[in-house]
Amino acid sequence: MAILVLEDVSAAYSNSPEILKGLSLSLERGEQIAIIGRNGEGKTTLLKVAAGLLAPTRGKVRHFSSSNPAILLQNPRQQLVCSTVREEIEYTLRLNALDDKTVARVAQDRLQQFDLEHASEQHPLKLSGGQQQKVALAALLCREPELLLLDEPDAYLDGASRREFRSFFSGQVRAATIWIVSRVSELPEGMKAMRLANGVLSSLDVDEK
Amino acid sequence: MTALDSATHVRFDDVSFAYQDDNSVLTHCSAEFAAGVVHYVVGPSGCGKSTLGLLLCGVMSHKSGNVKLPKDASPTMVLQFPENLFLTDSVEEELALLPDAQAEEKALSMLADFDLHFVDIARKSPHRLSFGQRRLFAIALQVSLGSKVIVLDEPSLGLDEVHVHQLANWLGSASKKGTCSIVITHDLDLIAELSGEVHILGHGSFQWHGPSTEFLKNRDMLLLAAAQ
Ligand SMILES: Nc1ncnc2c1ncn2[C@@H]1O[C@H](COP(=O)(O)OP(=O)(O)OP(=O)(O)O)[C@@H](O)[C@H]1O
Ligand SMILES: Nc1ncnc2c1ncn2[C@@H]1O[C@H](COP(=O)(O)OP(=O)(O)O)[C@@H](O)[C@H]1O
Ligand SMILES: [Mg+2]
Ligand SMILES: [Mg+2]
Repeated sequence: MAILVLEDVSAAYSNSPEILKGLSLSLERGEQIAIIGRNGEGKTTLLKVAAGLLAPTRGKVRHFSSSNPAILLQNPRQQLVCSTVREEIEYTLRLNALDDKTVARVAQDRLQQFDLEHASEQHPLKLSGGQQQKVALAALLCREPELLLLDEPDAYLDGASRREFRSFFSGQVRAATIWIVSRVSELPEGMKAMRLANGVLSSLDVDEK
Repeated sequence: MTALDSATHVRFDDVSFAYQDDNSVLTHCSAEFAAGVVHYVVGPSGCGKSTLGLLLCGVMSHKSGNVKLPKDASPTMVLQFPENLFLTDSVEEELALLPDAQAEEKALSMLADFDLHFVDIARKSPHRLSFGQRRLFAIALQVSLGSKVIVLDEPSLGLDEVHVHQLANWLGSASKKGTCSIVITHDLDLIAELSGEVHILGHGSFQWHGPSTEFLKNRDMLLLAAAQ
């Protein structure tokens, strides 16, 4: 059963040439795919269209989930809004209508899981870049969405944190996912991958991997 | 900061720094960055790499110790979140803020090397470039100032293979011409592309430094040792 379908979608910003050009994609429930493309090719634009943040100029975007898609923006600073790291996580948990006690407990677990305990009372925007991305990721995953749209989700993480996050993700996250990267060396292991070029998606050549 | 007379290198002598009194980031940190080679500063998130760059450029001041710069160096830095320095609403206006025609020309030629053509982006707000394009634009702006010492904070983050290659080429030729380039990064593709000197920061000071080839061979062991 599909959770997201893009049908012959085109997209452009005002006064700009078309960026997506009749692109189609169908994502099954629980299916996880990576999309790779060069800088400026339209990867973020594709995610914005899939999230409903940008209306396509042509074609249809259909969602079949009960909750809103969760999008991780490429710059983590754009989605950190609270005044401490703990509040940032607790805030998203409250969106899921959890009671205070559960919120506090789950938040604590998440802080530990992402190695953010020592920074829990700090202002998120005063953290280092890698730590900011971890906070944004931790908060987003607390929403337990059915559809995750991740724009280069671990680009700011150092090697060890990246390995940890990827092993946590492949072990625990079952949501349907689109995971954007800009280089072959960043493709998540074992995930099906497609290439975005010239406004459409194609399968990734075997020798590219 | 004091200037070394004829030397062309940057030196940290026993530098300590804390954001708040109880939150020390660098403690008795010493290092030497000679001009003519590319220096990579690596280490886990939050270990103080960006802080070190900001201290070097005099954006913040250290609590004790010394940062020594070459004479008349006026170091520049490309920030980890480079969009924080854009002041205007178009690429064109941003370029017009550069001090002279020479800098503008240099920025334009660098943009062309990165396949970013002025006619395509001139009227665009720098905030509306794609993530990678924005980073490349910020790099071109800072580099065009022609400073002898330049700090780049994760310059290859989010760049595709071709752009990493172009960036490496540029860094290599700039250091051959005598620029002291200090590159904060965790990008092994970049380090593999262009050899240089790697400095591992951990627990407030440098734990190891050596040639990038040696770093790449033993990186897991070296990084783990520095983190312990
Ligand atoms: N808000 C915007 N307004 C106008 N043009 C935009 C806007 N955002 C992106 N663009 C342009 O649309 C094109 C595609 O941008 P997009 O951000 O989707 O690329 P990307 O593949 O995500 O690139 P990167 O790897 O650099 O993140 C680029 O030419 C970019 O300059
Ligand atoms: N403006 C700030 N105010 C308070 N603490 C900060 C600020 N910027 C960074 N820090 C803290 O200083 C430490 C080092 O940060 P940073 O130099 O950005 O790390 P890196 O660049 O190595 O990832 C981190 O613990 C971070 O939370
Ligand atoms: Mg993008
Ligand atoms: Mg940093």
